[in-house]
Amino acid sequence: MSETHNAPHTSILQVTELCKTYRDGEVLAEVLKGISFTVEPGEFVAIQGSSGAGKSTLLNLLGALDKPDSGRIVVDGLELTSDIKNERVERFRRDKVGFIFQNHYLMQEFTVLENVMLPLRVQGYNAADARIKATRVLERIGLGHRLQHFPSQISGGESQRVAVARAVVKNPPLILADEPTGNLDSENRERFIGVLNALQAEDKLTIIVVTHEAELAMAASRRLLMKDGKIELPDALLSPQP
Amino acid sequence: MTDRQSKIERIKLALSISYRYSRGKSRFLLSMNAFLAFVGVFVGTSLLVVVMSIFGGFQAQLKKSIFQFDPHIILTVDRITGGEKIPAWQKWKERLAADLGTDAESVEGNIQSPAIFRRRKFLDHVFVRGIDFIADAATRTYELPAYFPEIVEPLNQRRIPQGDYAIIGREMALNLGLSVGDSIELIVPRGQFSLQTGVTPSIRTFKVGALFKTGHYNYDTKVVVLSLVTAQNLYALPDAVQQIAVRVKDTDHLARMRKKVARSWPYTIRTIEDEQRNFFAALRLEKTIMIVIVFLFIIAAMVGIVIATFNIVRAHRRDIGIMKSLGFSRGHMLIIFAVTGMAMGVLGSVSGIFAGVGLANNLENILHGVENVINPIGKFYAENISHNLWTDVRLIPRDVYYFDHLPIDIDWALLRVLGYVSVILSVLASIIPARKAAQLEPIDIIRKAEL
Repeated sequence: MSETHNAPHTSILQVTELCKTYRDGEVLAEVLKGISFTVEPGEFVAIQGSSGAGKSTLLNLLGALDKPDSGRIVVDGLELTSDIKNERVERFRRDKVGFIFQNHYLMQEFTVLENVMLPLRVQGYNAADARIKATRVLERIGLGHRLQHFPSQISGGESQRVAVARAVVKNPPLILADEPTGNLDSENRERFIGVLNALQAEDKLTIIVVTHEAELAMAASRRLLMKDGKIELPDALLSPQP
Repeated sequence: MTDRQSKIERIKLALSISYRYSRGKSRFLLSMNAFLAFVGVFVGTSLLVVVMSIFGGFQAQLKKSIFQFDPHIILTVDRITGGEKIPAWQKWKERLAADLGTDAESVEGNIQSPAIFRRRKFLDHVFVRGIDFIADAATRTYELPAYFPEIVEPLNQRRIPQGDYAIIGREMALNLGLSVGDSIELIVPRGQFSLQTGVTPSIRTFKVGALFKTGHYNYDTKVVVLSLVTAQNLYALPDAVQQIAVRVKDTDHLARMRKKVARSWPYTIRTIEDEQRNFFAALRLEKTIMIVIVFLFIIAAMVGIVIATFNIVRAHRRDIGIMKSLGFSRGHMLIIFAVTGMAMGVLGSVSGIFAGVGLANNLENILHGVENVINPIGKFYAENISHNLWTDVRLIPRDVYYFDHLPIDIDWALLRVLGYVSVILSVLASIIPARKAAQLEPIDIIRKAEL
């Protein structure tokens, strides 16, 4: 990963010719076959596509949860390459991205508040400062009354909103969400989209969401369609929603 | 927020997560999983301390009985027979006492020789020990020296009458049905050896003056103690002794004392360790084996920690994925899970050691307490249900073990080593699973277990 100070333009994310192949014994599965796109600050991008199109793999690479075989990812001036060192990956995850998984994946032994404080504590905030910031975010998304509850004591919809709070609390340049509404009923889905939209609008967050859900995709400002490891429809053809 | 502050905050966070994992959702200090591992180490270490203390106690008692009764350094003129007489022994004695100064507890001339013991038709070989008792002319008695073992009949009497009186061991008396005042005979070789007649035996009758008890079965069955003058008469060694016996204050450094004695005594010098070489070697071997068993015990308990920590790691695979996706480093993962494992090991060993010491110190009372519980129940059962006779259970039967109380000797140095080793082993035991946790990557968890 290297800092690219003289970036040619202000894109928050640049992906160039990204390739990823998984090996299972002798079988090679080419999941990403040279993907390129850019995302501007404050954009809300939805990546759609059928199962196995490589959406989640792409998201994992963008979040530095996995390493690409070739190609380039630059997030907020920091580049992720295949030979990147662990320490840099850890710093990238800590400072550059917020991840929302399909299942909320809150830590069960910690309260809602502690879960949301966690990314800040990992960044090095002391407990008191982290508590103030986390409480503020949870209050904004209507969960101020759930601070001391454990994940097992709140509903699935609430848990997913806590996961949003955990992703946005450190105010990262990029928020990645993998099927975040996949496990929610329609009421909670609507609420979730509302929260995400509101945060995005108020804080000018850059969000990339992988989704099957038309409702969530429609909320995005731009949609990319993936098929067989490639972006089938270029950005221009999927113009921002009115 | 400086870099250093951030680092400290992250370590504080790792420790607090570790604490939470050890506790789980339990209201107590440890979760059930961690508690069971803790119990394994706790029980292991506390039992070890008890076993080692009893074992040490038995050894110390045995050693003490030997050191109490036998001379610590034996000076003779001839190495091979050990039986040459030392004529001007009083002069040697004075010279040695002066040279050794305060290091010596006593220096005296002794006779130490085998004899045949006869009581009616019973014959046995014994060792006669002639000790230079302090004579009290007024009462015509000998006063026994302070180091002389406990007299059990007449109880605690420290004087015996002058003349042909012998002090024999309690076990010998029990075996032969002897008590104070009874007669015994000692047969010893006497005079010059001649080809025609061989050695003329000398038979003399003695009265049992007292019974001693060293606590060492061999002594209590095989040694007959006479006053030096009586022994000199018996062996026809007027004014001579067979050995000069030195008792020293510091029995732990006999080799050093031996060197010091060697400056004054040009002939043969043997220490109690040379005399009882096999016995001391056996004690050392027993101790070594015991220590090996001790550490096998601890290692077994530590396997419990490895398993418990692995369980904790497995139960938190998803958390590991989440924390790593949030940017937690391998080092922090290592801290979280290693500290969780160590907490069990260190808490278990330290509290186990304390509990073991407490248990060992009160073991006799505890065993008596157990007897007091078992016996009434057994008696009730025997009398009312099975209609049998009930014999009271004695957990430490005095006649079998030859100890009237359970000897306990807590070896603090060994406990310290035990403490260090258990702490080091718990660190190792928890690092193995913690390393496993640190190596897990979120993508592994996502792809294998759907995070």
